Amino acid sequence: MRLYEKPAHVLHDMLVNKEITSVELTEDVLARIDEVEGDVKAYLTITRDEALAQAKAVDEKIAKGEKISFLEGIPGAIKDNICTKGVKTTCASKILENFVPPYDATVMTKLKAENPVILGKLNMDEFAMGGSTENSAYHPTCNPWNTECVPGGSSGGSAASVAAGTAIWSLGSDTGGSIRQPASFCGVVGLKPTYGRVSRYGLVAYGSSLDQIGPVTRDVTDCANILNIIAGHDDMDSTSSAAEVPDFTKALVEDVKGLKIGLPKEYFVKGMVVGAVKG
Amino acid sequence: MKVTKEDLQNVAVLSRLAIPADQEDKYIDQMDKILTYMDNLSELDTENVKPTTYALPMQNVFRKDEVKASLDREAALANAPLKEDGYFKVPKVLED
Repeated sequence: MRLYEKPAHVLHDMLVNKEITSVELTEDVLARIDEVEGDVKAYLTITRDEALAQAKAVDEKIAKGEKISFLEGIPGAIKDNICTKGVKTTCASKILENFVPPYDATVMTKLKAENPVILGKLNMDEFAMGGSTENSAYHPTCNPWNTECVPGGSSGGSAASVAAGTAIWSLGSDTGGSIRQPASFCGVVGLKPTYGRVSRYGLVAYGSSLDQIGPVTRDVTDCANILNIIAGHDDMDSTSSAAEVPDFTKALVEDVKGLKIGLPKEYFVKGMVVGAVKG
Repeated sequence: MKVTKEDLQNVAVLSRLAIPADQEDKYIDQMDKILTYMDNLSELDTENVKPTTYALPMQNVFRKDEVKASLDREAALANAPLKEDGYFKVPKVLED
């Protein structure tokens, strides 16, 4: 099994136990990009040199015996509607072809405090308006399981990269399904946090009263850990919730027996696809 | 038809879009279908449904009016295709 196939929490333990280095891991994911990115096309920008420099810095820290945080040294990528200081943020649109944000989105500031390896920016439907990632102004992204199929959208690059192993984790954004639907299409875990849980500062708006940034990961353990990093109130987003942020990993229990799933009764209307909600 | 040719031409002007005359009927038809589809919403009985504006209780957010560190002018203007004397420069849209 290659390193790119493993979830972040397993890779974190391997880094801590010095079984691998962040450079080895990052090189393996970059090699995977070289192998399959031509078919999947999940990325709009790949920051290869910066990624390797970040990985090297983490390895030096580990060599000195310093403690590392959950995402430290683990390569991931960011949907291209989340502002990244000094790295192009196009929203997959030609209108923002040359836009280099002079500041980081709050989620980027929070992530960077953890020293992850950032591989680049991910494809999407232009300005997040779409559900297939065919509506990118640059190129469509393909579903890694079958490149004849769409990966879903609008966070199609976020879901396809994690599914293809060209990123260990990613961030997407969800207004009306844009994380959950592509995660489902690509067989990975995607979460839309409750509105207000994650700051929208630096996220290029689609529907401001609905947009949320959320993680796309290989399993729920990674998802909970990344939500822990990005959640919380932010003075820069007046709609972010002041509610206390629990440790989401506490919800990682052995089984989900007795769990109730609620569906609004308004979903059960004329025209609903048979079997879509009534299982 | 909910959408008239005048509606389409008005929307086109407001959106700065040039719609060729031979394609007007196509777009009128598409816009009409979209608006007619929205009528589906009126089939729902919302008589006893409390309006939801936000999932969370929201209130006005205030802060002290204090000067804080912010982007410097050079960084803020870095993406401007046109600038002059430290300002964004845009094409003139209003007549004298």
